[in-house]
Amino acid sequence: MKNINWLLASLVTAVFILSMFSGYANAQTPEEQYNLYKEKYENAKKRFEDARGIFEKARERSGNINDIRSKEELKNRTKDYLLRAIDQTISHLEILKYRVELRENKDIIKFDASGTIEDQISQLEGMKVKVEGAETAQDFRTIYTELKDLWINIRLETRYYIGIVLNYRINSFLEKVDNVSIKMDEAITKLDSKGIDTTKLKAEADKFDSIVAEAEANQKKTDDLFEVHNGFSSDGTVTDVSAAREFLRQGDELERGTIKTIKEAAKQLKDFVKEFRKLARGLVTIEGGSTETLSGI
Amino acid sequence: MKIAHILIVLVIAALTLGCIGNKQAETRSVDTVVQPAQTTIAPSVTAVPGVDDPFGTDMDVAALDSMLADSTMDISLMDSI
Repeated sequence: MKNINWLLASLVTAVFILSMFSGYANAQTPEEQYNLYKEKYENAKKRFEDARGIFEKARERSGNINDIRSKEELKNRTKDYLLRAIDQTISHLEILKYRVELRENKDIIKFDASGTIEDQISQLEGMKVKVEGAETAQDFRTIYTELKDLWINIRLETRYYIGIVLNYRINSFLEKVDNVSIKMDEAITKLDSKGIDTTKLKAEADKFDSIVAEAEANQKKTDDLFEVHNGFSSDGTVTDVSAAREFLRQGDELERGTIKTIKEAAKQLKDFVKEFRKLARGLVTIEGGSTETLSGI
Repeated sequence: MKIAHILIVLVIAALTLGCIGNKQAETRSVDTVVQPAQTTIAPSVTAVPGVDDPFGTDMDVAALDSMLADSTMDISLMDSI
């Protein structure tokens, strides 16, 4: 009995201690880890926006009442605004670092994007120390200029990294749909051999192929653009801010266009599958099993 | 004897809380991933291919959308302070 009591008490204690770490233990899938970073980012963003609002009010008050108390308050609010801005920037970088470090993304970027992001995080951490020690308005202005300059590079470089990964993924998707096209043709042939009228199904397949061709043409332009990567050196750092901005603007527009077309293709594929099932009535399968995915082809 | 008790307690507690026995899903995915092109474990996408999405294209599209959203994250810094 004594042993059982001791065992129960120990169990409760152990559960309590381990529960403090269970959040980390449970955040095991990439999706869960990503969500943790995303949640942290959203919180940091909210805190930054609150700090910005409070700082703006303090600055306005300080303009009307120029006493020591309001000056001190403005100093504290400025400090808070800067710290929260740096925190949000770090959270932003953590998400993107996580993205580029994901195992399936690791070989896509040909330079050390993760190392660059780490350096930027270190610079930002250093900036926080400077903010804590800042005393005068000039001190704060100098740090703020430094932060804004760093942010310009961070924003451009991280958009470039994600653009590369996204581009790779779009190409992979288009390769997959080429395989789907083959499966669709095979399915039509199977139905034809059973004497089933496939006129409508063929029309659905043609429509799908036409949408995919449009996406591929658009994607070719994106590939060409990323091949040149105007404004960025081969190690992924910005060499010309305005050229980099223009390159990313064009890349973003093209990638969005391709994704929009890909969505249309996915919708068209569903229409095809629906029509196929109506005709096949379970006698013929399109994918060799309903759980088979493109990745298994 | 006491050490054995402590070990039993810790293992039971850890199992209860999922601290052990849950291998990294990333590792799991590596077993099934043939090439980096596959987006079946893309962050923020939980769907699995089903009857309505036999080729898993919805998952791929959701992964692309999620990545696109991350590329547009921004911070509203004031012009000056």
